[in-house]
Amino acid sequence: MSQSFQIWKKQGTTFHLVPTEKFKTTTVLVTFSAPLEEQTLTSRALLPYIMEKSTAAYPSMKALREPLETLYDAGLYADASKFGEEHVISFQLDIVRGDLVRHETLLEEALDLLEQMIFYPDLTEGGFREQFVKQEKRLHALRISSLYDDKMRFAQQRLLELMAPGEAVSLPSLGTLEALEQITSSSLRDTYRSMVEEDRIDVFVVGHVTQDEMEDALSFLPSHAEKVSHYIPAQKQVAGVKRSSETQPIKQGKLHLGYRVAVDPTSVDSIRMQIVNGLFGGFPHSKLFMNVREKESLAYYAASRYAALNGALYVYAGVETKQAERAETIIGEQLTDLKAGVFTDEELTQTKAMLINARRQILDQPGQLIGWLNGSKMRGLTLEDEIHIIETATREDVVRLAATIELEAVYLLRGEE
Amino acid sequence: MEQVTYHDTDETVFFEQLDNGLAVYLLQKKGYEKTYATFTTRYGSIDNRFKKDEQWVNVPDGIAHFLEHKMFESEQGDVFQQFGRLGASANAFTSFSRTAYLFSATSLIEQNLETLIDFVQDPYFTAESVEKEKGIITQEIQMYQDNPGWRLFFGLIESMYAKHPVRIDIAGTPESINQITAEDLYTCYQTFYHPSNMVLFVVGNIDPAETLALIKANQAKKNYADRPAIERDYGVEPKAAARKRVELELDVKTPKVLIGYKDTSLGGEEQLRRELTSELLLHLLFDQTSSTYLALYEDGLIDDTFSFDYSSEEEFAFATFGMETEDPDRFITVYEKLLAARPVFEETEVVRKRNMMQGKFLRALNSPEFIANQFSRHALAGTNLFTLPTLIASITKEEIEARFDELFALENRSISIVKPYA
Repeated sequence: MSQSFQIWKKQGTTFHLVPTEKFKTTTVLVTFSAPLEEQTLTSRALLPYIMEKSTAAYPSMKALREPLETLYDAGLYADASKFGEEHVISFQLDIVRGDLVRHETLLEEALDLLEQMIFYPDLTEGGFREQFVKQEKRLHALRISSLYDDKMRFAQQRLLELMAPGEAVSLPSLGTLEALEQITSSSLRDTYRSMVEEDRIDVFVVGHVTQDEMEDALSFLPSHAEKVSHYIPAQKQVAGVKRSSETQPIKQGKLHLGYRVAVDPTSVDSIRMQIVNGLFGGFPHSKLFMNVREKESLAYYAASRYAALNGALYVYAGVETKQAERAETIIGEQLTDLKAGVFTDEELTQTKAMLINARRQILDQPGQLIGWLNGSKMRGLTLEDEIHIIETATREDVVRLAATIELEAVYLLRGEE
Repeated sequence: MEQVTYHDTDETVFFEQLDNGLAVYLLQKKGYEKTYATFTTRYGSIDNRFKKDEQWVNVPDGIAHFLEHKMFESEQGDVFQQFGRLGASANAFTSFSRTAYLFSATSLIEQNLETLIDFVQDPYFTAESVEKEKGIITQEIQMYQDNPGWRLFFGLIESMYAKHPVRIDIAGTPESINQITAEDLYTCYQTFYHPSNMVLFVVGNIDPAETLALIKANQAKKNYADRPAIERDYGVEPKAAARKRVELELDVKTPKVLIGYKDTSLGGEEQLRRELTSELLLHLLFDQTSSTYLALYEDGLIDDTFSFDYSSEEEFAFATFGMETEDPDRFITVYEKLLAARPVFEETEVVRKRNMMQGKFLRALNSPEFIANQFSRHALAGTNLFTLPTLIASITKEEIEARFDELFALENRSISIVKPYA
């Protein structure tokens, strides 16, 4: 494994570059990060949907998308997401390498469109165009209500609300229908201006590009005073297990459990915590899969996920509603075993091998590379460092970290019984 | 070993057909950490009636998928664990016409590759373990029953096809899988898992000569008798769609509509050309740059949940498009009106779409998974994935326009709708 990464700061923007020739594409991601707040969330969630539809110079979807098609299906998209206690609006360009299609200026032409999208939106009417805003508000309302139709996501959202009512981490990432109502084309313009003027900017590039070429190509980025990040939530105490359930006319029940994990997300222990999660429910050899599914045939899926930034661990299982109680008992027993060190050396070795395999594979996908760079910036560790930490973690580390896991909430979406 | 370099994609494929009939393809991806291998049989959910010892036999629906699950059990225990010990992640999937087993790993590639080949070539089922699997698969089926997109899609397929087994859910039903016995599994295994019905594809930072030597040595240890071609029966399917429209009520907030146009499959190279022509046509009609999309968008009838697809296999083919919408019927009326006049395409638009499809293909080649899965699909159909750039460049505006007339005949159409409980 010998991939180099370059990270530097210039005029308040942090650049992350992965120079490589192995891909057929160049990927550029520009992110704008601000504190996650209820008042701005819905407006910031809607903004990218409007910005990716048109710009001042390309004033319709057709006008903007036609050149992208001609440039060999250049991907150019805007998106919004939550990252701990920050809200991130991102613009991504994904473009075929010019030498493969004998089109030398391909990257430059595509970067121009990226610049147009971010810095020259269609504000000719003072705000964003009324017609687009009206249309996109309606579509966004549809997106928000469709969350109900995806039962796994629905149940997870309910669990988050149960764990941290009213807090940033449990805010729905698309925003709320009530807040959406209030948005106007001029309020959206204000949201846009604050994004460009106030947010912290990060740039990620993966491809056959040098540091100089990259600074040159992205010289359109504004110069800012350096901004600090504030995505890491405070640690929380558990005060008893909260429970909630609802019934819907569905075939399969969804059992979601939320645990608090007292591990600092910037610490080396947060890497080791992934071994604990791996033993518990991260893989097909994990305790949850082997016991809830293979041994008891109670579920098709039963898995866990460690969300380092949220200081939480979640367990999900799709079960027959009348078996939910039994499934919860078995899940609890697996955690008790883990805390007591009841796992074999083979399980530990296997979990480490899987985690290391997954880390090496990150280098083979531009999107995953960027995701890893973004997620690991708070730790300042290299991929090699992470692999070394996993390799050298001990059984004692696992038991020590498992001891910090505490059940906080149980949500059950009941089906027909 | 044959070796072909495709200059327009900068990729080289190595090939050899072994004595037992197995087709082996290798592709070297320099600089990649991971090696990804798929071992695919041309056997899927539609193969529920075939000849065994001169007799036609019918097997329960969902058995190909059930067999896929059970292959992961061996006399030495769970195959997932064997891969886990080698630091690899393994998986498998069953489609209408194929079952594929795969792993991805960044170390111990040789052991992992042998593990893959050996477990797929060593069936082991007991009555007890077959019974236990029924509980798990029943939960898998129930999970899909609650998935509106899945129900919408199968609602459409059931409505388009009268007899063809493509209309049956890949996993079967709780009732059909309950009938499955260990003996049925062996029957299917022996019929469809002969090397001559399979393709092995390995992509990664490998040495092709060494990898081939390993595969050959592995196969030389196993005795496979020659075997005649497999006879399969899918019934006689009328050309027109069986039903016009189906509606289903589910626990959803937003209705969903999917429209299908049933096509016929010509098989092989001819079908590949038809598939690509159909895709160009769908892009011309429904991309965000099309006049249809624009008209629907301005009417507030279309959003980013809209998608379209052309599904093409040796035995069947169909085009679909659909989305979530508050008013499916208004969407249907408006799109019908837009397509009623045969659209005239500009030469420049066609050039743009060809560029787009070329670029889409090149971008996909970043993914070893895409290469292995798609190359295997093509190899089993007698076509070659890496001929796509040349083929796309050769498709004319006239061919696309002729495709419009063939595909969008009203008698080929079915509509599937999922809506909230009244």
